[in-house]
Amino acid sequence: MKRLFILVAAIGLASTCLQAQKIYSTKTGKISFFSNAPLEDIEAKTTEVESKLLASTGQVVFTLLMKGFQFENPLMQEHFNENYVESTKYPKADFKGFITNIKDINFTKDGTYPANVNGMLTIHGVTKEVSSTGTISVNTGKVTAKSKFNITLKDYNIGGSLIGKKIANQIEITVECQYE
Amino acid sequence: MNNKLRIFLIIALVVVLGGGAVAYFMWNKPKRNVEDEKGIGITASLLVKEYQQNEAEANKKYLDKTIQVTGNVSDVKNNQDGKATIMLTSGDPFTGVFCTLKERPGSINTGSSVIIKGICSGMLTDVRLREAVVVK
Repeated sequence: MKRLFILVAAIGLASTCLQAQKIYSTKTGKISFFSNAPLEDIEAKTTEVESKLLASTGQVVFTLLMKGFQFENPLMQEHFNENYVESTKYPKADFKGFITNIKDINFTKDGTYPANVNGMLTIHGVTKEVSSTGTISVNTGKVTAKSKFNITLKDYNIGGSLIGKKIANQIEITVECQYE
Repeated sequence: MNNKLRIFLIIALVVVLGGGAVAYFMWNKPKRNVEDEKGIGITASLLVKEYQQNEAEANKKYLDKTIQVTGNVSDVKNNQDGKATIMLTSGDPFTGVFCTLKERPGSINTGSSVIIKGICSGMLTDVRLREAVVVK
């Protein structure tokens, strides 16, 4: 009887530990960007995005494949890959950081929680610290992370003759990840 | 003089129209369509193995190329963007070939053998094919 009790307690403890270590992940997060341009707005999106979120610490990671960005205009897509982000040389971009207010987010209760994110963003082989705000929504166990922030292309050594003239130096990045 | 002017005008017109046409066709360059491309034939296991052994070398061979992969389906899903995705096994349970389909396929059963053609985006946990179509 006592042994059974210990066994049940052990299983119970193990499962609470498991709960605390819960990792939310997806292979198809969505990341898009938008830039205002005089000739035509530049807009592209990709779902070649993996992301993991550790609920206990707020640690969050995104990795994406640059070649996955799809544009309405194929010529723009070609220029993006060849002249700007050099995606053959730098096929991946990633973000590694933390949700700094993770304690305020209750993953077991439905709702939309504001989230502050801080970490290192690597694009085009250049790593910079970024901070952003966003939300974490919990809906019947499904967790969705959303965020929108601006980056300055120059910071990532993304050149090209048109930047600052026909292409804005700042672009807006939108992240939306439905975790499993 | 009159003739020379006429020839000059004709040449100028051809240059302007030709240049305009080239610019127009470049700007409206047709989208890449995997169905029109032949595709490098390979099995899912071999593709994954090549990526695991040397990602940089594999990227030189496959990145942004159309690839026709033969493999077994381990999972069929819809992603958050409403596109169907198919995972092909590689023999290594931690990784596979993850294909995002252009259009909704007919019914595909887990465990069945398929041939899928798509454009290689590189490798995350899995080798990724985008804008893919089910060939067989």
